[in-house]
Amino acid sequence: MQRSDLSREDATEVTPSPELDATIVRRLGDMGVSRRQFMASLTRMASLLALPPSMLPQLAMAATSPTKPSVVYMSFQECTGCLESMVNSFAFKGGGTIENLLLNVVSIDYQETLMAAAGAQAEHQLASSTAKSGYVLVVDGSIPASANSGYFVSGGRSGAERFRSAAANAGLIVAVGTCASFGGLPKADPNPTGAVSIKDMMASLGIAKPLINVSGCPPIPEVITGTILLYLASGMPALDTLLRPKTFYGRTVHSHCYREESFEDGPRVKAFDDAASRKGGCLFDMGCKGPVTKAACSSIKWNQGLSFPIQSGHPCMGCTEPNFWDRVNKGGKKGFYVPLAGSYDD
Amino acid sequence: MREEKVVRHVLLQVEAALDQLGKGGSPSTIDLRQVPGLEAKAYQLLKSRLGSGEVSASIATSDGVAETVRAAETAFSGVWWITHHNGAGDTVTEQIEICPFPAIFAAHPEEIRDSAVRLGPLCNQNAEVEAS
Ligand code: SF4
Repeated sequence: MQRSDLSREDATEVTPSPELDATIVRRLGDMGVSRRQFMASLTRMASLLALPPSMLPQLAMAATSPTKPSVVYMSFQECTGCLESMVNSFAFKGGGTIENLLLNVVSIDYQETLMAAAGAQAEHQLASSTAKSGYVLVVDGSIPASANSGYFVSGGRSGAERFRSAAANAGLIVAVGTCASFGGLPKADPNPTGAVSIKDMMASLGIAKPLINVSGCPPIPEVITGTILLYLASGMPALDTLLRPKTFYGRTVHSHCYREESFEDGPRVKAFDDAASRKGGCLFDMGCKGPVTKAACSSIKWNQGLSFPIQSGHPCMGCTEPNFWDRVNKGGKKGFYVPLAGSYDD
Repeated sequence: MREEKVVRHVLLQVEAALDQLGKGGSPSTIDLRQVPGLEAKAYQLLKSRLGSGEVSASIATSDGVAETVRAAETAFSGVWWITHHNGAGDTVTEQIEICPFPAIFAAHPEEIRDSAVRLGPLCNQNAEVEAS
């Protein structure tokens, strides 16, 4: 093969190796962070983000920047799983991880669950943090469409009113979790509260701001962290039609699933704990939604890359997709254990 | 064979990067996660084609329990195979670096300056002990 045979599709990117400048090394020293561990974490993260290694200095600059972008994190109708996931990404590893640094490089100016303030003090903090413009508004949970539904009232104001005023000066809105991205569980049939996604809420309130959906119930910690870091380092990431970062939501769970061979050739699992199940067979017939679910669970995995639901023997529930609670499957039936209708080859 | 094509493609890239480095150019990196079609067979073939050299180095985690990064020289001087592990010891990503020695291992000039500053008091301490 000659060089001329290399098509653009084949192109492997050979990029200049990254070098940190003295400013970043000094900042790391001041933070008590090992440059080598920091570079190793950053390299792993960049690789997961499918970024060229030459972008590392930009990521490093964002992760060690002394100016801290303000983040206002508001929760609506949710279970706190998303925040739990994000906070665990910081708590799992001590020392110089990107996740730890991120906690230090963004200034979380408002978050009801994490902040010490409560009641009027908290409301005052929200008002002052949203008075300046340009902050990143992170939202988890869906919101009742009607301001007068009586559901979700906090500080004497409806969810819709709270969101409208918090979004007014935001530079970017990030919907974290499937409830915020698509309505999630609160919006599931019969949707008693009339819940809508953040995108739909923005449309009905006439709010036109950049929005990123980071779906998942909850999303993978690295995906939340990575999305924020990607935005800080290089602006708005490329998004799919559902406004999710393509980097993390570009491929199906099935496309990276290690059980894919038995999807093709069998034997597939027919009952939990049958012989195929014990051998790690494909869970398609047990209701796996991997073939239609765009997520990084089978590549990044969970708990520092330890495992993911399918590796633990459970079919994918499709939690990063809209209306996953109400998906109609084979035989017109709903349910996580009902196989997908139709046939899927990837 | 598909894997032959993928491997030859990577080797051509390595060759071009070596050429550039040999002429005084900058070091470069290939992220193997991002090489299209580098599935298990092609990966093994690439690894065996590049072979192994004399030098290897690793960086331990902050608590020293497991290594986070391992660099192994291939049979070609200036071509390094770098493996990154997660906390559980699983491989997260692998890269080929074309450089005299991977920068992550070498001390940074800023760290060298800092070492000199930190060593100063120790020298004075020894001088005081000798004087007493
Ligand atoms: S159907 Fe599910 S278990 Fe089977 S290969 Fe696809 S993702 Fe894996």
